[in-house]
Amino acid sequence: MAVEKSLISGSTGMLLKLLSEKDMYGYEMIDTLKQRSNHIFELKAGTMYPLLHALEEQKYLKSYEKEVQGKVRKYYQITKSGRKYLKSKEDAWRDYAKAVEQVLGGTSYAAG
Amino acid sequence: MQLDEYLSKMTEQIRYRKIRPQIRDEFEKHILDQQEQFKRNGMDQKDALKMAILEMGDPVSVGAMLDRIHRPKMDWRLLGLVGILSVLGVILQQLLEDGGQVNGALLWMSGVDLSRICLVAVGVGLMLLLCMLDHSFLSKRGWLLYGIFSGITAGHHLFGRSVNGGLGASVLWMYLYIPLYAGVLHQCAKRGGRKRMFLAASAIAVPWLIGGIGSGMSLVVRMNLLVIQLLMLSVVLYQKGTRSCVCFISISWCVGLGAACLKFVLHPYMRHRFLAFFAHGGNMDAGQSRVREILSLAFLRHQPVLNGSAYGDVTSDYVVTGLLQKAGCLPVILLLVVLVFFFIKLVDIIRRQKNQLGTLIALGCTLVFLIQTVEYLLMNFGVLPGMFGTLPFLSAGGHTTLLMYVLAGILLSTYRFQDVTTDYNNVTLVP
Repeated sequence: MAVEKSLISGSTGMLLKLLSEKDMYGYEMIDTLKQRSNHIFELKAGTMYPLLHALEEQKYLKSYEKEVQGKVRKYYQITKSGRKYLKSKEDAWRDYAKAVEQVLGGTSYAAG
Repeated sequence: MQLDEYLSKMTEQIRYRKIRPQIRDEFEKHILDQQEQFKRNGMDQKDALKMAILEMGDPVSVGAMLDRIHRPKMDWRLLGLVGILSVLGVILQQLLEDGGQVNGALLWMSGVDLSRICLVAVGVGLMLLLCMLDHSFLSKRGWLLYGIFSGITAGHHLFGRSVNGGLGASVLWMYLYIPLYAGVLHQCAKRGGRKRMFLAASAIAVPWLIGGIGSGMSLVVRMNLLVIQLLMLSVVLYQKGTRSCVCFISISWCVGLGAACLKFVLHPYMRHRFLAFFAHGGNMDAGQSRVREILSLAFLRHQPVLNGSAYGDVTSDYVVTGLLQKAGCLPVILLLVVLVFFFIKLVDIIRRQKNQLGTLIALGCTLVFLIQTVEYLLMNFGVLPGMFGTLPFLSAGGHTTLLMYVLAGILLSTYRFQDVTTDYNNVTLVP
């Protein structure tokens, strides 16, 4: 099975995964990603925002403004089609991870 | 690099100027949040800001990435559908005017109708021009535009040239109240407050009152405007969570219908027309009789198609009936299929709107198209007498044709500039 280029970075999938749990604003996403991955994934804002805008353009996300503690922030929310896309990303990632494991494992594994 | 310098350098890369303020605002807030975090970790204000800006990455490459994503959009599908309907309109009007006869194939008679082609060309030009305009000005200057248009229409009703006791098809331009009302509603809703919403509701009465001046506007057009504006108001009230909006709309309907009934009771001409409709089995005028005869010939008796000129004006005003008469059922079905696709596209535009203003404009314009089309089809199938509706881009008439292109242009604008306004929809109208 051909592997998508974006799978290698996986940033899109991770952002969608975070948003599938709750709506977040940009800085919150970077912070949460950093904490959850034990500082392994430190996504730069200059990379993240174009990704978020691209996902919004493709209707996988939608945005809204909300005031929290006196500050108005732009929150992102995953859409129905976003959840479907996330599911396909997760399935593709599992296939990819399994394939890598099979190769690195050095022994042949039973299919399925 | 200073904050302002970074943001300016980044946004300069984005060629779509209207989106720049939003992106700038989002990035600025992010940088300030990051600065706060660094300060909490012990950095001083200046260093924290410097580090936060550095963390953002190169402004030029970030801006270039955003430029690739944010481009003004054109709804090519809607444009394509309008194009198809426009071409069909030219062909149909040519066919109906010439009294072309079907004998296994359509025959072209005499020359091409240049006036129709010029009209369509002007309409398309208007549509494309309006499409390039940012529709958010309808909200920014909502009341001003509504007031100016009201002045113009009042003047037209008072001093306009009367034809056969009425202002003719020019009253159809009153439908431009719909996008203007969307602007008024959005302005009031954004600023909030019961007083403003009451004013917005009261604005519905303006076209109704103006329509009663002088020669008087068709009651049908006034009722259509009332229905559409009430629906738009109910959307806003629903979005605001006003539970009493249903009650309000119901009351408004009763008031509107009551006013219509009063007009029938008080105006002898209207009263006689209304009674005549029911007295003659729902048959009010010669045009309607001719339509029913054509339908009967086409469907029931399978008699040969007669030369269109024997039916005089009917075929040019009745596009669908005329097409049925001259070319049979299949072209009519195909035409209706194209119209169905057109309306599916319009509903899709409403569904995809990201902000309230776009939703209101798209909804209002779609309802104008829909009501006009339904009334026209009912007229063409002999259900309603000959005074209803237009078929978008297909009907005869300069005013109706240009109006449809204007509304289409405004719709295209809502699609093109959907990213510009930042007040977001909290409620999805169409799932």
